[in-house]
Amino acid sequence: MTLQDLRDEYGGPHKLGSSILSEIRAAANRVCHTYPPLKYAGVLGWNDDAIEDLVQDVTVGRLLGGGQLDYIMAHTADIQHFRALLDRQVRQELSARRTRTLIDNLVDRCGEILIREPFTVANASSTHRRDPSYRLASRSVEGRPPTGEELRIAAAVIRPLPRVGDSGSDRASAVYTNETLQAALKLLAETLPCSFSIRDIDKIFSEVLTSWLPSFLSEEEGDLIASEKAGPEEVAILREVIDKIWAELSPEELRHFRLLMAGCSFDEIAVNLAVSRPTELKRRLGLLRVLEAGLSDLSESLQKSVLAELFFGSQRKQKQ
Amino acid sequence: MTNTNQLPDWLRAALYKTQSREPYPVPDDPEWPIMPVPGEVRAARPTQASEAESRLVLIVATYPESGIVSAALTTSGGSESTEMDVRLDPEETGVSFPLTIETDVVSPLWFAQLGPRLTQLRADLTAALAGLPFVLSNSDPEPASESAAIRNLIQGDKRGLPTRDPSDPLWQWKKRELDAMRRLSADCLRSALEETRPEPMLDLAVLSALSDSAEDPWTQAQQALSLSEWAEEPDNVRSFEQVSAADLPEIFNIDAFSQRPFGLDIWNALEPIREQFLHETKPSPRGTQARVVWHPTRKPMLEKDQLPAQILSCLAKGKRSIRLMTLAKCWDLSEPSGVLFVDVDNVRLQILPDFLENRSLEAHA
Repeated sequence: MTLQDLRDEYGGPHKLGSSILSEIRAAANRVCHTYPPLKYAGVLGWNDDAIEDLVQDVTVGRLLGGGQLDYIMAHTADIQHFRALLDRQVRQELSARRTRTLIDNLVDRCGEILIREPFTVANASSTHRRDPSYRLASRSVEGRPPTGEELRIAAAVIRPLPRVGDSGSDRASAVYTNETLQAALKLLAETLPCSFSIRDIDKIFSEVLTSWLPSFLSEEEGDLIASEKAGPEEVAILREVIDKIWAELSPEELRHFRLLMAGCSFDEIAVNLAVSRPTELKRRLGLLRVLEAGLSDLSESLQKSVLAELFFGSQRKQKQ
Repeated sequence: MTNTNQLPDWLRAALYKTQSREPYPVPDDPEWPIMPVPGEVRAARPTQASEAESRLVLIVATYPESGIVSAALTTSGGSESTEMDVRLDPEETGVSFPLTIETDVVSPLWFAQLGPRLTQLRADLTAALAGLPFVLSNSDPEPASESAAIRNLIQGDKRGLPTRDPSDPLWQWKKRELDAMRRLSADCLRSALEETRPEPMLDLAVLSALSDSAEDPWTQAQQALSLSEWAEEPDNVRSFEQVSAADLPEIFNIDAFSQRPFGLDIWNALEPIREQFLHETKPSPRGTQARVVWHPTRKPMLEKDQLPAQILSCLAKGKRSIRLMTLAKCWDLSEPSGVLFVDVDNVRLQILPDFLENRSLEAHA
């Protein structure tokens, strides 16, 4: 089979015929055996049916429905390149399946957390019963759905939270411990200026998970909780520095700190906190002064631990 | 040709739903002359096929005099995107697949690396995509109104998450993308950084054309004058190393010149070129077995075309772009414009033509 054969078939009346289909089948066979079948196909082994399901999903959902055959044909240079791009499509399909499973599990768990304190249903009308929105009971927010920009910033804020790595067993990973998932929902509720629904949470986790799924499958826990590996003396120093910084930061400065840690840009922070750029700059300088005074004498690893504790500690301890 | 009855039912049903889409053109067959403009999405190939993979790029700026575009890398079908990457739906681009524009992975490419135009984005969207990295990094703040306009056009939900540090998978992905673009643009980038002018060369077929009895003698005289002026410019006409002195009689055919009106005047006007030719040619240039494919097709004016040997000499020196004084009629061209290129054993070299017809027309005007 040559690339010209495939191009001829692509340029014909059906675009995708038996030649390209046999290439897709070959790609599915090449790639699937490196993925655990139970997690990625819900079967005990990669049998013919499971592989044919994968071929159909790649062909119908991605290559034809998602226009990826056009994308490949628009720039592929030779048959090896074509096959490499098909392999990539198969990997992406498998990755999307896995992400969907993990997100569905997470969203189910979120539903159970959100019906208890400190959360409350923000809209109780009959029209919203199917997809109620939530907020922190202690915080009044705008009664509207979040914008795409707000969801993206919320995703950036919860992304550094520590995750539970894939165990290697056949059971789907929990992704977050219950404590971390509760902290994530509190972070969302504090970051968003409005109430949010389960559908919004789905979008946020989709953004967060797809950004780190490729490496997640072999990860242990996130590295931001370095303080949990510190010795007794270091813990004492950490506690002292954290308490000192904590006492000096206002709730607004803490929100600012989280957005900074999440990597949000100057403009995004200004928009999210609803302040002008000069005000944001002034706050940023104040925040950095407090952090510099507290961190300057510490080693790099301790500095990292303090920042992590400030980030997550702000969830564990409600600042008055 | 596949008979649809041989295909499984599920595939026939899927094909029925998507059959209205036209197939995209072959990426190594661009329209001619190739004149990219900002906002276009085209395939881009490396100058040497084995060095990098072809990708789709968005043209953000063009520099026709150098035959260079500034292009942003794009991707499709993956889930990765950072805050610098803008995800565009098919409705916004006109292509059948979602396209992610990597606004922070921008590099120069030669026109000769580009494939056919797939689509063209709106001018305001293209400008916003080009300005986005500056707005987000605050390194070169746009006026507040422009910054707001860019943000308005590129809403936050079209972008991914900020990268944090090297342990971040998005950081690693972006690093790989930067590396892919670096490999794709390596030759052009090196040339742009060195700020060296592409090596000027003379297509020796021009000399033969100046004594061609089928041509108008007034036009030939005008072109000979323009050519002698060009040869007097510093650094022009210096690439005769691969031309054999044995070919001198065919290239400078005094009999042919002497039989033409103004022929001896033209002969005299070409004296500096002839002198240089005599000094730089070698007795026996090495032959070439290389496979040479011209874009567009070259129409040989000499029995032995000297240009392939001259091109090989440039490639051996690592050059991937040259300027060539030539005549449009030496090429299968409808008009004397655009860039030319040549593939020598899968290595592509861009030729910025300086058409003698255009020079003599300008001089006449």
